[in-house]
Amino acid sequence: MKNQTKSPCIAAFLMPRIGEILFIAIFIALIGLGPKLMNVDGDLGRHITLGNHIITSRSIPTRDVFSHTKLGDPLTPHEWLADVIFALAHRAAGLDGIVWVTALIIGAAFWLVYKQSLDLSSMSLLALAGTILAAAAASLHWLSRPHIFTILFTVIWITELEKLRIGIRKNWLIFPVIMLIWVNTHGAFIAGILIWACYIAGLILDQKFSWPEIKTYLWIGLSSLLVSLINPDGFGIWKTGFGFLGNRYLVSHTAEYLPPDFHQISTWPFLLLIVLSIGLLAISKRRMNASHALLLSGWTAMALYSARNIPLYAVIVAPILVTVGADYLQANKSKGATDKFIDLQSRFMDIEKSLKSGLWSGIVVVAAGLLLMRGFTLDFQNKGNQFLDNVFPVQAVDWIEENQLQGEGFNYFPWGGYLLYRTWPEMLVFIDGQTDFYGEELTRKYEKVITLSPGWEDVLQKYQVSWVLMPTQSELIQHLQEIGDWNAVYQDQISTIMVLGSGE
Amino acid sequence: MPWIKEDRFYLAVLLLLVLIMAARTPLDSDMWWHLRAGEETLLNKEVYSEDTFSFTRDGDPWLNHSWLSQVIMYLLYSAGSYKALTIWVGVCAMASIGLVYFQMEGHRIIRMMTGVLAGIVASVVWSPRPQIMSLVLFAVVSYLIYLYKWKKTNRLWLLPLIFILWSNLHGGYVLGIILTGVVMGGEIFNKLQVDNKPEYLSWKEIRVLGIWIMVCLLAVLINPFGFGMWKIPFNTIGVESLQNLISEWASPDFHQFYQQPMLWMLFGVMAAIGLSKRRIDGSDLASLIVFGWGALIARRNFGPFALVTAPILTRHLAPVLEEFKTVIEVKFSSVRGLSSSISESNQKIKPGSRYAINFILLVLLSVTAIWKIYDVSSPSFVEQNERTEFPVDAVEKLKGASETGLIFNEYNWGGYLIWNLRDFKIFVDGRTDLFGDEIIGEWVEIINAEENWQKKLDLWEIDYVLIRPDRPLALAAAETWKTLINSEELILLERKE
Repeated sequence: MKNQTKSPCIAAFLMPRIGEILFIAIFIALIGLGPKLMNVDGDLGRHITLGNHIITSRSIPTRDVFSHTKLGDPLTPHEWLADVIFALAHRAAGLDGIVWVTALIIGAAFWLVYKQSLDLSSMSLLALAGTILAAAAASLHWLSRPHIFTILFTVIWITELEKLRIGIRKNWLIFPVIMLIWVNTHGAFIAGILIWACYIAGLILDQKFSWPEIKTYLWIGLSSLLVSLINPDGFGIWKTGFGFLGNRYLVSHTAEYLPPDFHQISTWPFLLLIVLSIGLLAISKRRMNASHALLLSGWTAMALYSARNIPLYAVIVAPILVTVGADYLQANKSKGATDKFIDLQSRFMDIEKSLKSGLWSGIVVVAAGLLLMRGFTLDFQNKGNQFLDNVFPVQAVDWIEENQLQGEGFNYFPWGGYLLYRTWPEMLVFIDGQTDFYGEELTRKYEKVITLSPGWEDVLQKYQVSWVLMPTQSELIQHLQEIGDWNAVYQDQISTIMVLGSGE
Repeated sequence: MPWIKEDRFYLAVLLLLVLIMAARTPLDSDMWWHLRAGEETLLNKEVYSEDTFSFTRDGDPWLNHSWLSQVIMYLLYSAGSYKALTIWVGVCAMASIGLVYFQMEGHRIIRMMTGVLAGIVASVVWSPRPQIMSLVLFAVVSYLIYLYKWKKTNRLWLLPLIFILWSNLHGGYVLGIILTGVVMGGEIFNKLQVDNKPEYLSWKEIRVLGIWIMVCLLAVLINPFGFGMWKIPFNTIGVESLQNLISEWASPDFHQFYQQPMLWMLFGVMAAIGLSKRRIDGSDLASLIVFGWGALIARRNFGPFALVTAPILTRHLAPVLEEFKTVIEVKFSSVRGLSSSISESNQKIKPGSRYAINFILLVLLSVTAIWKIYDVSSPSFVEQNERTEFPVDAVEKLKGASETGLIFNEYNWGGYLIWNLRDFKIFVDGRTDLFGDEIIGEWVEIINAEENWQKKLDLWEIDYVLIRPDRPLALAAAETWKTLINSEELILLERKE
């Protein structure tokens, strides 16, 4: 009798739940994709450098310290907390630490998506399928950058709003707390306000005009808006965000803000989610609650407008679709196949309820961290987590360090962050990926130079540029090699350094 | 004047608004080679089907699936110049949106507004090209299916005739086949549902629809190219360069304001379905998914998407607005009061006065439409636009410099050169299906001044290069070729002796 009761207890702690398996799978996948996470985009170097600067100086810079073109100009450090987290991870384990943090944050976000889907639908298999599809759609923007915190905060935010909607949560005090951290971690905290707007509009459309409920939602909005001002730049954070989004030139020149290109296979899971949304809306026998309808349609539009919104769309929409799908299955449970699925599902749920584990997630996360700190390479291609020399000008910067290149430079925009990572504070960049700071004027000047548009030489002269670091195949390098004033002092297949004059 | 009351008045307003929107200067990069092909067909009394415009595909057979549209375009142009083409585009746009209006549900104002939105979305493809005939015939097919499904009126026998016409006007006939197939699939889905609504087709009706699709597929073969017409959709989609180089085949860029209405429409229909208590019909669902998918893959599919989505939107928007209006009136008595007082004051207006107001409005819209047609197609306005979009100066220069020659040209200028420089031959134009990846790939290599660009120009014995000044080739060839024109819009280079 004693054995009979003890045995299931041990199994309950040893057997992982579906959600835990999902978390571990995503975490391991991201650890395995480590080099890809940091090499698709050039901004990571800037974030680590800024985070290190904040830790070292114990102050958050509100003036530029990284470029010679805008040195001392007002800066909105809207990602300072994320940068500090990245810098701490980097101090602990180098670039491996960054990959570990990224994997943890994204894994946690999708575990929460699964959990929310499960709570709303009570169907673990459906929740699993929905979360996997959401993860596939979001994966096109899985990068080691502060926006991963926005993915996490979006899930937390919407989970809490759902709790409020269905009556589990009674007070609103958690919301300003979440917003306070969010606003200091990433500039896309505005997504939280938009989601809140969908909920309050949904409340009205669903004819729930009860004053206490409306009041709660209004308090959430008001407190979140006020709390969003508690950041190093106060109201400036809103101005920067809207200033950037309102600038058509800058937005259209930032790759991640462009709409998805459905000729790329990486966007197909997103397309599949849209098709599934319409399909589920169609087969659902019940009218969807208005908040969900607005979130679904609104975020579909936002994700179609800008591929950057696809991960947020995925984490918002997946639980809604899972709920609609579960409702449909419940309404049709008399049918053969549906009945069998629900039967299977309920058996899974019974097993799930008996499990207590959380152990394996902890073991995997800690083990991965320890192995990475010990220098093991865990990525699928066994390259190690490093900036790749076929993406970034690794050897060129080695040369710069060895030869102590002096003077102001002109650099390829996507390499700015890497240059800062390697050479700051000895060297300042012309431009890097912080487009909202550099603004339209400087970006246009940069574009003028790289396209050799009339006046490009004046730009170089104005900023007293004495060296240029650009891709070897770029139009600028090809042209500088043809004219007499510039000399190539370093060249490989990826990058070339040209110096004005003899280069002596 | 009963014709200007109620439904027909709103339809007339919608059509006039569409005409005002569609009346544009008829300048499209492909229009010119269509005109020239139409001219050749009429001159030779034989369908133009062997290339004579380019030197890269000179003498090669070309499956000219738009030959009848080209003839119509050329006849219109000969009879009424740009004005006739402008009116043709306007009439086609009105016909397509008008047929959609009849398929919508709900209050006439909602139908009219949705029609306007559909027009704005579809306007991306309103241009003087055979494609616009596909839009009209797509609307006709969708209307016949609407009659068959929703009104239980069988006019499907007209389908084969439409498809015979369509396969001679434009290769886009496949859209009609897809629509019919999608509706069939949607109806099968409906039959699998527990409930059975009156609008669902019976199994017998679904079979009949299937049989008509087969007949239509055979009807498509009645054209100068016979079985070749079946290959058209595959030939076109198989060309990779289409997706990479031609903007209308690319996914929509919603940062461009003129493309955003498609996004609004998609948002609107999803929100309306979500908020509506009415469940979506299987045919509507299948159409929305298939044509929505098509529009997200390539913006040239905005037209069919708009025509299919507008009726679905009204079917769901109407009950949502009705429900919302009732709730507002119940919750807020002042709104109810306002609503009834508006209704009362409307009733106080004498029918005669109402007709007069309607009539004046229609006259104003008609005058605006006529004025716009005249304005945008006036020779001075056309010439002004022609100069900004096409190499007018270079054409004049080449006409004076030589009687003949081979030109390496900007892709979008090929048609214009075909029309204006009769004795010159060009490298490439908008007939992507003719040139294929081979020639277009080579064109890309040369224009980007990639390795051996000079050798390739030599091999083709090209006499002139006519491209935009920001192309890498312009910079690369500046020293080795003689510059005839170098302006902000174009650069014309001639081979040095």
